[in-house]
Amino acid sequence: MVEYNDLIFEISRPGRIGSSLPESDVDSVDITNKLPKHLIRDVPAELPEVSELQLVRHYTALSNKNHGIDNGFYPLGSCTMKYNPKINEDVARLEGFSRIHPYQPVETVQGALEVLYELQEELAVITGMDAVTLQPSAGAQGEWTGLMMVKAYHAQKGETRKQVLVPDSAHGTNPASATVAGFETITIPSNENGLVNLEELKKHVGPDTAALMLTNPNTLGLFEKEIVEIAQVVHEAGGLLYYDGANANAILGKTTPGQMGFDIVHLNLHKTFTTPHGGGGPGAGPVGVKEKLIPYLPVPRVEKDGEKYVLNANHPLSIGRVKGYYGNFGILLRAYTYIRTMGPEGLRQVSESAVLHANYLRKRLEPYFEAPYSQVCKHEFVLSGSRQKKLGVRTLDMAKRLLDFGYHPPTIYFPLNVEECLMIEPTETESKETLDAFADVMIQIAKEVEDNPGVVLEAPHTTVIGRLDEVQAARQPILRYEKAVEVEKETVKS
Amino acid sequence: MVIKISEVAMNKLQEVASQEKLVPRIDADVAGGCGLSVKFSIVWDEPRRNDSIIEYEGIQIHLDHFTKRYLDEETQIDYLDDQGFIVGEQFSSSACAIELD
Repeated sequence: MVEYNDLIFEISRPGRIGSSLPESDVDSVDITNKLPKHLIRDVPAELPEVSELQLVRHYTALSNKNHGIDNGFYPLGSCTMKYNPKINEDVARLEGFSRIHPYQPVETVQGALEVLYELQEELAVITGMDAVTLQPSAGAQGEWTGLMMVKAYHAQKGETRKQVLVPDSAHGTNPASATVAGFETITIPSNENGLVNLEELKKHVGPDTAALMLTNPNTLGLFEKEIVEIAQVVHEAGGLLYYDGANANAILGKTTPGQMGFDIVHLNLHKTFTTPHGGGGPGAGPVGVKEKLIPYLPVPRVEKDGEKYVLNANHPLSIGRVKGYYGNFGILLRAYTYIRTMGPEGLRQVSESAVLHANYLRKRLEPYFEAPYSQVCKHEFVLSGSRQKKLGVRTLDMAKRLLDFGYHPPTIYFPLNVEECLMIEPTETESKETLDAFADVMIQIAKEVEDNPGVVLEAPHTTVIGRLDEVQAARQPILRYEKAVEVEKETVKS
Repeated sequence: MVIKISEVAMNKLQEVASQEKLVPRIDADVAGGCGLSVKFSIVWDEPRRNDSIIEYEGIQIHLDHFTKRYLDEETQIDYLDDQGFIVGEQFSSSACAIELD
């Protein structure tokens, strides 16, 4: 069977074309007279030259090799790989939305502004915040935006607080965003139950504390039961509480970060609110704040003036604009569609089912894997491959074996405080049959580790390409295609 | 694949081995999430099934299938008082070089 595995550069042939254009009916222009020399290529770009049919076959074959939520179970912990309803796409493609331009006069885009305004209002209710910005184009940018508001808030009070506290189970973006925003990061160790160690927190909180960043439920899928006291400790020291909304799928309609005592929240719309994942974007990471932080929100803000919607940049304490235009409108539109489709009761059912599914899967798998925190979890849970490690098989080996059965593996080796970690998030959109089928395969793999470890150690067996060297790829990534003959020449030179 | 061990690391391995019931192991410690990174260290633990064993001057160093897969073609082991055993860095000299299939 022909599999079409070559790169598009490898099937390229000089002079082959995919379309025929009519002869130009305008005079050609010599760009060397129009552009600075440093902007003009010395040699033409080596673009692939293929026919239209080759192009279609190439990308169709490539898409068939892809794994997405539309063609398989994807229990990637902390990433909430749930089904994205197709009605989101239908709405995003409506001409009234898809053919507008951000520079149009606001009188001509009142409908779009109404959507943005309504989404701000709805996300404020969902998070228990007082106002929301939709500008940030990703969760991590939302974190950075939130932290810049933290900095502005303290500066306005005449304080220069330099430290941001993060638990040792935090998402890596938390310390990264804090560092980029100019803060020093202090790591708070978890206690034996996987929760924030309150005594350790008290030791580190002080006059230099700008904020505590927390995910609740945390990355172990456990709810921080002492959140009210945690908030009190941070607030009494003059710090702010930042909620990483990556795990918001567990609390929709049940509680809000506002009720827990948080001052700032970011949401990952691609996780909780069914906008497309991955591919480098576009994304959206709206940020909600309590009243005391509203003056620092990015501008322009989408506001309502009487019956009209306006873009208002007249907020002198604002941290400024953090994104071109007003956010990734198409993504925001999909999230708005999802929220309106589900309604409050639907969103409540989302978190109930997400939590039920995670606990069902946890109970089925716990007899076969170490469970470092064996207790009722929220929307995700962690297992440890430490039992299998003693038999010479590692978590990565088991993850690769899952590929043979058509499953995307769970998140592995995160959080960092769990040895040989498997972090599983089934989401609410999967059926019991899917959960059972996945559990059966996981149990089979656990048995293979004991009886036939070779089949796991050499996995995957059924994929187009076998075991990749991820470490080599991370250390020495090849990010640019080069023809083999050119590589040989360079080797000779060196 | 070649494992090079500095003289000071070899002395330390022999010193600890004489007091330790567990075996020395080159172990890959993986940190994950959105990407994988691997660090190597010397740990003392029980032998694992399918271990590879390298032997030099009475010391048997274990490594599992996974660790062997991700080690560089040439791996060096050194010992510093303040950092303990260091695996994988480039060191100036070594006491021995053990080839591994």
